[in-house]
Amino acid sequence: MSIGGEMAFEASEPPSQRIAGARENALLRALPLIAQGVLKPHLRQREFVQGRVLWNAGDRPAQLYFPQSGLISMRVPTTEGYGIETGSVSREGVAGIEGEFGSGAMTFGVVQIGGVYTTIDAEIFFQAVQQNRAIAELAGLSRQWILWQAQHMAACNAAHSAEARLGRWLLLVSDRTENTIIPATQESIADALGLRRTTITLLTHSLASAGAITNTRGKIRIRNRALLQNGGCSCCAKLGSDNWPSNRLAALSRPALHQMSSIDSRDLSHQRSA
Amino acid sequence: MPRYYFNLKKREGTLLDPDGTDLPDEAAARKHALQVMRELMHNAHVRTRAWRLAVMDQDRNPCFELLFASHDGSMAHFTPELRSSIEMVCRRQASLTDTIVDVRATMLQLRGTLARSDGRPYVAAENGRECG
Repeated sequence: MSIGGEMAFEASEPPSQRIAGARENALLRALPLIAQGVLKPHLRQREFVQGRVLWNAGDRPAQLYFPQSGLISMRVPTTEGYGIETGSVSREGVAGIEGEFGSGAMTFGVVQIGGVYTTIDAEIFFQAVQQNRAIAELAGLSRQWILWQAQHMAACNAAHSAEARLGRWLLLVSDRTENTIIPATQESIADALGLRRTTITLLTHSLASAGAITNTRGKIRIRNRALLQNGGCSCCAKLGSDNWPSNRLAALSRPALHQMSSIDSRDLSHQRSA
Repeated sequence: MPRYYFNLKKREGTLLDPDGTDLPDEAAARKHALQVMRELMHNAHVRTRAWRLAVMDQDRNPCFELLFASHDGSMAHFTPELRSSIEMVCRRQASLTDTIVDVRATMLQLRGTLARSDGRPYVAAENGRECG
């Protein structure tokens, strides 16, 4: 099977016609146009609601998911029937990339915040990885992002308090979904952090009475980032936008732009006229 | 299944658990309370020692109250004397907090009574506790 367009699509699910746009997945948008063109015929848009399990632990994800909005949480199942979050992906990355070498995923993937997702068949994507350097870079950066998150979570879960971890979770979700309102129930947050719902209820009340958040049923609004950051842990800063695969890929794909920003405008106009 | 409410008492005030949790009996409520306490205490032992988890039954009658310092695993390596003296200090701090809360409630009641006699508005309840 080649990338050239031999894949047939069911009539019910036409491939996506839109690759650029205001709410396009930032990682896909960071690809050079040629690489975008390679993937474009195979992309589809789908909507998923909160709680939808996208792949099970042990299975190889059949699709890759590029969130345009919403958030996918990757969780390791635990014996108590909980799944503890080891990483999550929103517009800055891609989920489902674990199955590259035919191996089953350690985590299961669940939609934490419902939204619109661009999907691609895993087989087709990994073939494109073999053939296109920029797509290979996208895959590498995305794997690294998931690894970095897991490394930080391991340290964070061991070293920081429940309150700090909740603060970290809220800030990371808010930053990446680009929204100060987080549509998440206390149950779903408790599940992600491996804590009892009672613990999350008491901690959200505590944060709300300190003025850091407002908490209405099923929605948390961040009112004061500084308060959350102070009470939170250093993990937020280390998983900040500089380390998002979308921004790192953009820097890789357009090094000329980054260099130009340091040249003064007179030199730039000179270059243009040359 | 009966419902139990787990309120957190801190020096700054009481955080109420509005929804509660359905559990088979008081023994299960105690187990749940201990787990919640462990989660809140984890990596925050010193700060949380004087906190208490007050458990209420479905009619909001108090069932039992757990002092964090009494279940603080981070003190396991202390001598028993040191442990019990820290626990005592925390217990006293907690009862001082209760006293301050009571005094505050009494003052609010008094202000309420005075305001009512003047026909002015007054605070009728604070933290779910009637004081008017």
